[in-house]
Amino acid sequence: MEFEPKIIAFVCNWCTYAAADLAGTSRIQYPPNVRIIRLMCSGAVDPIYIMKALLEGADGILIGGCHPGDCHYQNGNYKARRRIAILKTILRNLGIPDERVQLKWISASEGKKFADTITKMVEDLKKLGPSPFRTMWEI
Amino acid sequence: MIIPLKENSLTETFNQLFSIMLEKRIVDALIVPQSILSDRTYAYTLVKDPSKIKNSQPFLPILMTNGAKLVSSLTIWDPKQKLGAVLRVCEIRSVIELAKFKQANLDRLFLIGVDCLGTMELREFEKMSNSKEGFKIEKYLSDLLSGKITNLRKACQICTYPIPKNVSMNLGFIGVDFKKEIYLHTSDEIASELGIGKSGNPERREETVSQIEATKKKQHDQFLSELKERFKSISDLLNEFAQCKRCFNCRVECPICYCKECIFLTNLFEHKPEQYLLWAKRKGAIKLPYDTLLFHLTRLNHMASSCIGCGQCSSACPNNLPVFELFQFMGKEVQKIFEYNPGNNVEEKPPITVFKEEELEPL
Repeated sequence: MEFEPKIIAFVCNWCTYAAADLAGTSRIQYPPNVRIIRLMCSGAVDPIYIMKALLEGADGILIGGCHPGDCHYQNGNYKARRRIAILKTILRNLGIPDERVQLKWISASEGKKFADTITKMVEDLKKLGPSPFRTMWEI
Repeated sequence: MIIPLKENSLTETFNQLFSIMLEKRIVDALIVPQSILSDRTYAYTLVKDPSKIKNSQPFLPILMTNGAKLVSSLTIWDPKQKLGAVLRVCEIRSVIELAKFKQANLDRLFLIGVDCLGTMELREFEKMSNSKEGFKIEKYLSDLLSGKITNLRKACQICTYPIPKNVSMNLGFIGVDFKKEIYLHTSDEIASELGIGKSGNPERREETVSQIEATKKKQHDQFLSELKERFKSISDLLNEFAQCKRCFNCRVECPICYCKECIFLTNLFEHKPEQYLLWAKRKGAIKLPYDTLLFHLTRLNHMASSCIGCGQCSSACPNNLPVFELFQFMGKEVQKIFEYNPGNNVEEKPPITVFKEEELEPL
């Protein structure tokens, strides 16, 4: 059986969640590998959620927010960008590939972009293989 | 300026200096490390009455706690008095960092920074005090300068900041003939108010300081490249941190971890038995206590950008885990992307509190 990656997506209420909704209502097909968690803002994604999901064995994490300048709360996505930059610096130094955690700006009208992002991410993660944390119990 | 030793004793000289500062109301109260009860027990003291300055010891070889936390608790609300604090460089850097997070207020603070070439763990200090020779500050300082003290804390061994910045007064022994005198740097106004000592700079100070800085820089860089090899993968991290028992001492002692309600102390991490059993079933087994690696990785994410490298986390660890090593390494990596040097300048905003419209992408 082919490996099916599991993606946890933290998406903001105003843009990326609406984009996911639009992808659905527009009947755009994309792989069913993603579990979506809606937050009010990408700036509300504390790194602890991402770390927890990774350590529990998620193969990929997507953080979706409004485009820079479009944040419903003025600057939440700029703060998210800094936090993810810190997180990725730490992960990179621990040898965890960049593909596992991705920050994307997807607006409410970009249903297609949401579907494409998931499709691409699933492809990349399939190439990368299952996360080592799936079986690493010693954490 | 230069202050000749009183009665050939560093302690007496400092006692005199601090008493004058309190008497002349240069400060209304003073936080200063002193020996209390016996000459083996040291603690920070908050002194109002000059007669209570009896055994001050600014160049003490130990760091009982990061004094920045004490300063924070005394200035987070307006103390309404001028507060002096005799602190080491790492503590001053922590105060500056805490001030940026509005956890300390510099307005009524008179920071007195001391030269510092390092401190040792409490147990090492106890060994020294209990030895036949006992602990003599003058001998200790000359041993420190000649590199004879080899049991300094790891953080101190690689610290590149021997002399303090951002202070109202600097008390120095580096490049000074401290068997006869000490060095004091402050504003002219306060110097004249003190009315002791004579103006002038020790000849060899600047040169000695830059020599020490250069040596330390080399050791620091060497250490960081070793750490890069040491923490290459999650397995490396696991190997080093498997014995963590989640006591949170590192978090308690960390001057930067100021959150009143840390997420790890909330009931978010109190799970029902079914939950643990489910996790154990899924992977076949889990390590207990659970979520130890998550704790360190989360704390890294939260405060590595402001880690000043005082090393109190490692000193506080009962299981001797390399917490400081991990935070020093990751801290430097994170600070690099924002070109940020924590504790250096109060005007520089911590990376997680600000942003630029265009930066960091593609991530």
